[in-house]
Amino acid sequence: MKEAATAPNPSSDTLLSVDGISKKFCRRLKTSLAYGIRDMTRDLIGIRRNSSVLRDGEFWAVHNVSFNLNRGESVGLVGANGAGKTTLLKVLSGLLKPDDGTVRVRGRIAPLIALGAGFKPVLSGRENIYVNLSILGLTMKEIDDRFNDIVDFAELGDAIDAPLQTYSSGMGARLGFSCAIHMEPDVLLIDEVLAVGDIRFRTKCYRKLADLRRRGTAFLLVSHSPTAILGSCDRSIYMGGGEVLVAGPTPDVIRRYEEDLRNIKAPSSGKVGVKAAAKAVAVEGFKMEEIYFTDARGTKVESPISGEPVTFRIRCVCSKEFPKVKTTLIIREAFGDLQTILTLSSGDVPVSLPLGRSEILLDFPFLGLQSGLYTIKIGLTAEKLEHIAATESFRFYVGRNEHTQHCLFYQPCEWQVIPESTTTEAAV
Amino acid sequence: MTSLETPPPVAELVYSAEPAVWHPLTLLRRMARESWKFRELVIHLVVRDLRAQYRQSLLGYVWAFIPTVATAIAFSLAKDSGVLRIPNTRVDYVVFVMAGTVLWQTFTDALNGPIQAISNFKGVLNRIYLPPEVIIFAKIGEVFVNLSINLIMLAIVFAVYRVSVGPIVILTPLLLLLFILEATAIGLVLAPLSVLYHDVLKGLPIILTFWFVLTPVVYAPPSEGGLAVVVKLNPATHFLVAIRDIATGGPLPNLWTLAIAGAVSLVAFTITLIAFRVAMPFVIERGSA
Repeated sequence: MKEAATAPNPSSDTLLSVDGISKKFCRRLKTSLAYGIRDMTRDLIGIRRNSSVLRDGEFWAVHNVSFNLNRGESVGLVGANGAGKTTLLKVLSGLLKPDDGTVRVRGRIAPLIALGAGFKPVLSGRENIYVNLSILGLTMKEIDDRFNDIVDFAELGDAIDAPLQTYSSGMGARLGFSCAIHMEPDVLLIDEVLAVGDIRFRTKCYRKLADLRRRGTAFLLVSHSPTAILGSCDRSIYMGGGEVLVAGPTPDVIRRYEEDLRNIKAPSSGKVGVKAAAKAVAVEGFKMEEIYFTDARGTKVESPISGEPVTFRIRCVCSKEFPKVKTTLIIREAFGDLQTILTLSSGDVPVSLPLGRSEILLDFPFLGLQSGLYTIKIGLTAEKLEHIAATESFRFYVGRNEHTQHCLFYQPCEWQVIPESTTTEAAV
Repeated sequence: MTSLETPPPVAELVYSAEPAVWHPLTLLRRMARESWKFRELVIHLVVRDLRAQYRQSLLGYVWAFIPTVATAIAFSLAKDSGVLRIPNTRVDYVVFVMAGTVLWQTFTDALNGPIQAISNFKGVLNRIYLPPEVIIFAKIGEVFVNLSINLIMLAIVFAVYRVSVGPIVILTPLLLLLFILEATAIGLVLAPLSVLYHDVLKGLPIILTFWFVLTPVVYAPPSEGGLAVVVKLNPATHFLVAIRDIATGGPLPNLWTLAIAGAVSLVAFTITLIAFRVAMPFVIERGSA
């Protein structure tokens, strides 16, 4: 697909115009340093670096990316780790020099990757606000004007004159966020940082961001998580291997991103399951053969569907009997916050694993997990926490079900209407 | 080149792969504009670092001159006991060596300044754009403040030993500035290299120890012999000796030599500061995690 969809001709409202940006990196440290010295010297004496060609050991971290960001617009940037999102942000904020292409910036850019830049623990909150905001480019007067708002927003109260090192981590993070958000920039680059404070404070942050957007601030929101992007961006860019894979309306881009997540990261639960099982660490006499899912009819499925019945199976071979085995599954998000979603343990109903081949089954009448990529950590223990086998890295993708859109999980439920006559009859 | 087109309504920044020195005017204008814009930050940083530096200590600002006083006392004792054979100096040796160590301390502070600045601000520099001159100016400011505290201490010592000072002493602030700029220029060359190759950080203290011995800090500049030649070629010598001689009412230094040294120092500082800015993106790219 062409990037033309997101790179129309820059208009007077264009705050950020990115044209064919490329940036290359080198993974070998010593070579990278030598290249660094050479590039630096060439740039200093004004010789063109010929930087659009890869040298030995280099690769494109960002390659030929173009887009425009207009006033009041919000653009999402998705892609797996190492897709070049953060590198792109660093080029946009002027930290890294592009190896090819041009970036034009009009107005003030605030990177929300830099919360609490320049904070010193021994200084008071007040002193830190002044230093932090002047690093972000505000004048003394601008800081004076905002000072009370910042303290109020961060909910610090009297603590503002205490040294920063006496703050709880939540207080420090709130102060950092409050400073950044009160800069009132023209462009805000947000890199997965809205995990600040408790849920109440986060809600307040989102409100403030929405407020900024109404007043014309443009957003570039970087995230692994499709949900965050879907909620707030009209247009999105999906990056992979440093290049723009798809760009356009957010729902289209996210659909493609989710498809790729399923196809690339979890080729099939069966195969991945065998690999994960092979990697399992186990005691002698026990071997995990395969980890997989089956649907209601007992057929092996690559990825279970959210809201439908599914059975999780561990097939193992024992060369002796293992009595009173306890199985524990910890299911986590594979991206983003890596939060633990579910911990399932067979603790109260210990099972015995007989000699020979057997399967441990876990039935889900309805799979409650929302569509997305997850990892399962499996642990088998005998009595007194004696370890039998454990595996990490079992990844699986949960397919989308139309009923679980805009939901955090699937809730099986039924709707009913009961006429009043029936209820009174029942009561009598 | 777009710079010839009609100017956009808002100041536009352009980042591209072209060497920055191809547009020297744009580069200089941007440096000037940003340095001016961030002038308040320079003051904030000087104040912040001063406060932070001594806040968690009982002796506080006294620490600014403890090293110089300690060195001066050590050398005085060594000379008096005959361990070190240093020819007698024009003024009292304690005064002489104290003035010398204060100046040497300033020289090394200024030389280390850019290296320290870049390492202190690594976390900031690779996350948000900050004009790199700002941290250098802040460091120079800090060197000046520490020097001032030392000068107060020195003034008391001068008063106690009744050193007579002539009117020519009004030249010293200018000479001190040039001296600090000269040392900072050396630091500006080393700083980007120190991020890429840690050899610089490891080697510098050793080099500075030799440098100290080859600079007339605790002895008067010799007039003959191999050391005299080395001392004369040493860039730290001219200002250090001139400032000390002027301050302690000694012979007037050769003003022509000083003028040339001053011009060299100014030019070197300007060029290295520009180079520092041009080099910064490469340093951030290769040197940060």
